[in-house]
Amino acid sequence: MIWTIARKEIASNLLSYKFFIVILLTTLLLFTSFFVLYKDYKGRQADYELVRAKPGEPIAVVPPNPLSIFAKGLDEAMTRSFEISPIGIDVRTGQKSGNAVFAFFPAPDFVYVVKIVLSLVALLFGFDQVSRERENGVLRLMLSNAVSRATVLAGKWLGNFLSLAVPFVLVTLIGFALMNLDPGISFGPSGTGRFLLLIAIALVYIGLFLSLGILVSALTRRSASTLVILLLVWSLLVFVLPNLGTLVARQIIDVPSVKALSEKRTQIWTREILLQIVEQRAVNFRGDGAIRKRHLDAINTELNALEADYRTKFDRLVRLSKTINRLSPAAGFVYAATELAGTGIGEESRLKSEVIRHKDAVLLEMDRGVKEHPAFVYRYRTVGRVLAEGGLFDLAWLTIALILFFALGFVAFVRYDVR
Amino acid sequence: MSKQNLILKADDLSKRYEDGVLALDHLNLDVRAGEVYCLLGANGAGKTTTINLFLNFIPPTTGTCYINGVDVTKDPLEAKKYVAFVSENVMLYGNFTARQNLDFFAKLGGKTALTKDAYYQVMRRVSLQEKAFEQRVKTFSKGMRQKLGISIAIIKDAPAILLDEPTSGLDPKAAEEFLEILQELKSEGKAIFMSTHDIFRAKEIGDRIGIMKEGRLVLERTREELQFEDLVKIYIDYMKSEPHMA
Amino acid sequence: MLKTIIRKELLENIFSFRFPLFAVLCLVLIPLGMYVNQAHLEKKIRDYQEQDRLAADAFTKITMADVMAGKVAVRAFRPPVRLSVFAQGFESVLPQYYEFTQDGFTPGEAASGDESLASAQGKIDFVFLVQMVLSLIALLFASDVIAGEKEAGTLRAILANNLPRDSVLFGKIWGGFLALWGPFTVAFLLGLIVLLAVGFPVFGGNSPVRILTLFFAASFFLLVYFVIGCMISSSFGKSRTALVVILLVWVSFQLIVPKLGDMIADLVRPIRTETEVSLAKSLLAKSLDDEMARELGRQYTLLFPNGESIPKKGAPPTPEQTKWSALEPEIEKNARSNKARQLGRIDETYRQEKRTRNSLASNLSVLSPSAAFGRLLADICGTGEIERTKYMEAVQAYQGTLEKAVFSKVTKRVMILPGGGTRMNFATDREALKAQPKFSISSATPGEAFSSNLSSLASLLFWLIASFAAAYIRFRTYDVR
Repeated sequence: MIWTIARKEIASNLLSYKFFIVILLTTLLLFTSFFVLYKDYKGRQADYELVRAKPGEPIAVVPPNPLSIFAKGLDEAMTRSFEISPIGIDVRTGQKSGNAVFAFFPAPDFVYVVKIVLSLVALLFGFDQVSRERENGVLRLMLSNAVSRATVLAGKWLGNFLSLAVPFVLVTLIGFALMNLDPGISFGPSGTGRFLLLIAIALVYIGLFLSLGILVSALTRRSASTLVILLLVWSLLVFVLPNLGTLVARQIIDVPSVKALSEKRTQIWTREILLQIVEQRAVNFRGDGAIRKRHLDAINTELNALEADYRTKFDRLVRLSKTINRLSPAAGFVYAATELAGTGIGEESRLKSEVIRHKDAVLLEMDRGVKEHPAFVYRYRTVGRVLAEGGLFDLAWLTIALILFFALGFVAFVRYDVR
Repeated sequence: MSKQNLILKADDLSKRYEDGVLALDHLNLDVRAGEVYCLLGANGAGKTTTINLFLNFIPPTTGTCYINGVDVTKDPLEAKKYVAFVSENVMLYGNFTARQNLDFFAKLGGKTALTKDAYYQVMRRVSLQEKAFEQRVKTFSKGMRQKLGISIAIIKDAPAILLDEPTSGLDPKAAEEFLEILQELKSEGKAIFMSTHDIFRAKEIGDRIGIMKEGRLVLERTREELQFEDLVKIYIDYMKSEPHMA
Repeated sequence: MLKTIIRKELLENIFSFRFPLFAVLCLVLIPLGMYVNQAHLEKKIRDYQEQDRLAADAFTKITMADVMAGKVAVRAFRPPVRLSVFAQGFESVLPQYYEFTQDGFTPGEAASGDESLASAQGKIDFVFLVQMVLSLIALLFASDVIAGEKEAGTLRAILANNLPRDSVLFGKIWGGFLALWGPFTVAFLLGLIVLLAVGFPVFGGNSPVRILTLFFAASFFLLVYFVIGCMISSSFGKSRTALVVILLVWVSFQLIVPKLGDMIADLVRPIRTETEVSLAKSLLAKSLDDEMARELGRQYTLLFPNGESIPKKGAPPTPEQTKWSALEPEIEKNARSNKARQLGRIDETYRQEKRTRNSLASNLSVLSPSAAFGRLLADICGTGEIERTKYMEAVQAYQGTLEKAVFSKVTKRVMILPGGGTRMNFATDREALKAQPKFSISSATPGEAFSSNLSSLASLLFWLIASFAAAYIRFRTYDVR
């Protein structure tokens, strides 16, 4: 019975001009996105070939991540080059996309398109499920048969979800397959797996908004007002809440500015060098090496402590703002998707700590007088670890929200006055 | 019968729609001041088209409508000064109260200096409950909305009132009340033109009754003439007959 | 009569359930956005002042020895723009500083580390709110202006009265727009009060003019979107259909058209990345330097086969030595001007390429009123395309200043002898370095902002007039039945 209703939904969608326009728009948008970000990736890849460390250079630079085509996230920040010197790490511009439009309009990657446009499309599919069918009386007719309201609602959900998800997945897979034709890009089995998981999360996210649409539709009498309410809710969830969390968190936790840090670093250096000179004078510059080593060690420990303190504070800020932001499913989706693609905040902070570890190793070698340094290699976290470190939570939260909205929609629908 | 008294006049009115359907076929009718004219007919007979033509909502293919002697097609805005309109399903602004709706339409009708009391008076006159005066219209029943609709027509105080199926969907009591109001308006000298399918009410209130079929006015009777005829029988006979016989 | 309709339209909006929602949204978001950006800006200004001071300190510590060794790197920081509180624009994308050496300048980091957090989610400034959120709300308000009344049948009731259709349309547009504009204005004023309270110089310098311009531009932008919405609303019989179409239009204006311009520009005029260009430049510079060194070595060996060029103390210079002291600067001067010309040509070509590509992209993208608005406002606030150009110009000028003040104080000559050996000699100007020359970027006047955004203005005007005309025609010919 569910399938009968779902089939009817799919058929009526296929016949409507709304479906046609929406699918056309989505396809256009996804291909635009793939194209723009593919070009962007190729540009950054070419840049990487130019700035990558020559063998032995104390520079840590990571190649651009091919999955950043779909989830750009912080990839641009991650692929900056980190130049290691005794005073610390000097961040250089890395591979710049040089795309000025991204500054005005955020990078239109797959995640962004799903987050904004597909959520909107899902609402468009959901908003008229109950209130409109009441308006034109179809609902009464349908419920005059021996079907339970649960079946009706489940059938509606399924039918609309399928008519949205199937074209979406198809278009995305075609885009992905086209990109695989370029020998310059290799996703590998791991990349493909991550990409499939990305699609799965996107589907959960879309389903969530579909449920939300049906819920609000079952709470209102007129379909036009359903849409207005939904759009307001949508703009709150997608635009406003994800920003507010970060802002609020920043008011609560004060992270020292990068500048304050570098200032402190210089202070430590000056102090230790002066002490060193005083001590060296005292012994008339005999036993030079030992004294120098002691002070260098002191500098390193203090700098590390400083760095560690900054990172704990920054991590706290990130955690808090993530927690607040997760109130909005859009933020949860972005976190899960970018982490999975390896361009998220968690990955970035891990990269930073890896760079610091690398720096320590390099400094130790410099101390020993080694001139050639091993190249910096960064390994992305495995999918398992990404899931364990928050990814699974986001996914679960999105799923729970989906079920919750659907359940609430069901309650509202059961009590819906079909007249 | 002076020309002055002729408020509504359709002169050789025809309307052929873009799709070729002839909705109105050389209609001639007139309504005098203090007269109620009821236009009967099945769905699609051309009743609403007639009203749309009087309101210049659509241009006529041939012929002319006059309201108070003003050619509707030539000077629609002038003509509309002399006519008030009550639609079948009076849709009003749901978020406004009855009084606010009345106020808005009164102003559109050119009555800009009315007080709250004047509005209340009109609403009392159509026997809308007092407590509904300041209630949002979206809570109103159909009968209440219809009463508000007629009070909008009353407040405009135009010599002609056009009503499109005003009693359809009303319960008998509400319909009765509605007709009483029309009776009063008639006695004030308004020319009232209403389309309806309701033969019994038409017979009750109409001074003259026209029956339309497929765009033609096939029969016109005065109240006096009908005293000796059975309107119901005539109507059904006409409806049954084949088009070419009409 | 017009007034009656405007009044009714206003009241109807105010009594509708969406109005309070919208008003609250406006009143919370706009002031909040301003407040938060101001707090962030304060931090950035403090950082800038500190960094600027540190850079100036470092400058006074530069010794001639450093200059000789070619190790001098002067940093010049870009001051944060006050009005970025309203429009972030390129603010967090432009390099915070440039580093200047004898060989040229390199851009520094764009934004400080903790901004990565915000960039993961996007930004929330006044322009963003107006461009994304309020534009959508303007369309929502417009969606049922005409279609809604058609559906409810009230339009029939209105048109049964003796008033011309154009005044109905005018009244509806103005009334609906006022209902939108009122809360927006109140929210904007509230935001300014908040800014005043936290110490933003609202009345200082040229801010008032710009803030006012900003406000009017935003109001105009909302009007454009509202009229577009009315046009769509008048083209459809059902407000639900109108809403769906409106959403599609909104998505294309916000997401597709601005990107499409960029895409097409990329296809038609692909350009090299900055890294590629700077690499090409440094390679060329190195080869030219080598060439000069070889030329010097060649001439030197011709004059002094025995390798004796420095006059003995007290002894008069030999004719060869006199000749050499004239020849050497000459060769150097020629080589330098040649290098400057060649490097300048690369720069110029690249700039030209970039300008063509960017103007193509921006001209295509301003087809979307949102993109047009974003560009215009960023330029008014001093965080847009003009600022980027002016920053670049200032950096180039500053390189010249430093050349004169610092780098030219030392002449370092390297020559490669045909025999294979190298010879180096230094000459320094024994003048101590004074304070760091001031680095400043001239800000664009509103006049400049407008004149370089004529295409944006034209686009906004076009949409306003075209959609009004379309709405007018649709409404005039609307079949009331």
